[in-house]
Amino acid sequence: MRINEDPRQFNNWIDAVVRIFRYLNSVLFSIDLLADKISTESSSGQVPAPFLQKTATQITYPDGTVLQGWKLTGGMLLTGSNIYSEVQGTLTVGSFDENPANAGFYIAYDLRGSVKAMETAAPNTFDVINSFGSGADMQDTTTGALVKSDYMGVSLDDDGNGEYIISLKAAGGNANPCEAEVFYQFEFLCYSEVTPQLS
Amino acid sequence: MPIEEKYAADATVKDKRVQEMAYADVRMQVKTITETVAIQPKTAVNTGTEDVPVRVEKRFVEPSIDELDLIKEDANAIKTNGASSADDKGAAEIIWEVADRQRTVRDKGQKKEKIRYRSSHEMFSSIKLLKAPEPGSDQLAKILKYSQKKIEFQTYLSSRGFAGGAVVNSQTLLKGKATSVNAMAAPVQPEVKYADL
Repeated sequence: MRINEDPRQFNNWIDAVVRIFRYLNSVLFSIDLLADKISTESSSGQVPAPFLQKTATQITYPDGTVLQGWKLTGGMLLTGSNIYSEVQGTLTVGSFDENPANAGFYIAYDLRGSVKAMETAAPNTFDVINSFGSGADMQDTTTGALVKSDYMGVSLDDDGNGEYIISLKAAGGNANPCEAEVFYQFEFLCYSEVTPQLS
Repeated sequence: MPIEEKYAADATVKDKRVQEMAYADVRMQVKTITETVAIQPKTAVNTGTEDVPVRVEKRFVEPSIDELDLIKEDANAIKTNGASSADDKGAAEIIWEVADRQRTVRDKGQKKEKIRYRSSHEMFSSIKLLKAPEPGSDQLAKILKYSQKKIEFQTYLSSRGFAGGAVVNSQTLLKGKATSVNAMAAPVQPEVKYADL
């Protein structure tokens, strides 16, 4: 029997097509989520501890050399001071060969994130979200007003043998303590033979 | 409550008196470091297909629930002891509060219970009690290095003239709660290097 001869069967056929589309949509959505999949051992009561993810970014050279992308993500509350240098962990980028002197190669590829601060001095209290970077608003906790940060960034301090101490640094825009919730993502490239480690 | 009066558990900036009591005070049976460094998970690397373990030998260790109970007990004894100084009572109250909050989170985590907040600010609380590393351990070398770097970088940033050129801390970070009966006698005393404790 052809489908147009029985309306009920036609409806079943439409229903099947809709189900297939829904399934494909969920699969594609899952793939999309996988791109930023975060599995943390932290409790849901906490911001996840800083973590590393391999990214889809790759630069491939004709000789077969591949620079692979990795992303370090972290977040924390900055409060109680006007100047911050908060250690996030130690990133180790090993050597592409057995020689420790060759360890530590990375290219800074991308830095982004968000900075959330609250304005409470204005007639209306509101949150403001800026991109992570110098100039992002923080809250002057003495007055409650927003103030531009003088500085905000991530630093890697080479400790030898490819070990970098990573710090989240910030300075408020004046001499009063400033506060903000920060989430940052730092993507870097290193040789594909190397698996960076966070400790 | 003035806006600058921060709950201790939310504070990134540590007070030296809290740091010292947690790390070196003989009245505390479980010695801890009051750190903002998050505990690294066992699997810090997720490639999408495989997890690569972090170097576990350098991980900081969080106190167990029993140890957190002991910390709370000791801190409570100090803060309710009439003979304790105002600074001691204030520091003990902050440690108690951090330990209490950490215990709640840890307990729910172990029971696989979900935690929900009204505001992300609560989730972003920063200070954690981590067990004081053993002498000669990799963890001790790590925390000594971290605290050294932190002070160095703060000095560096202030020398560049950012934020007025000097490190300024909140005046009333010392109160655990607006209703707290225990407050330290003086404004924040910035943390010091662990090597100096």
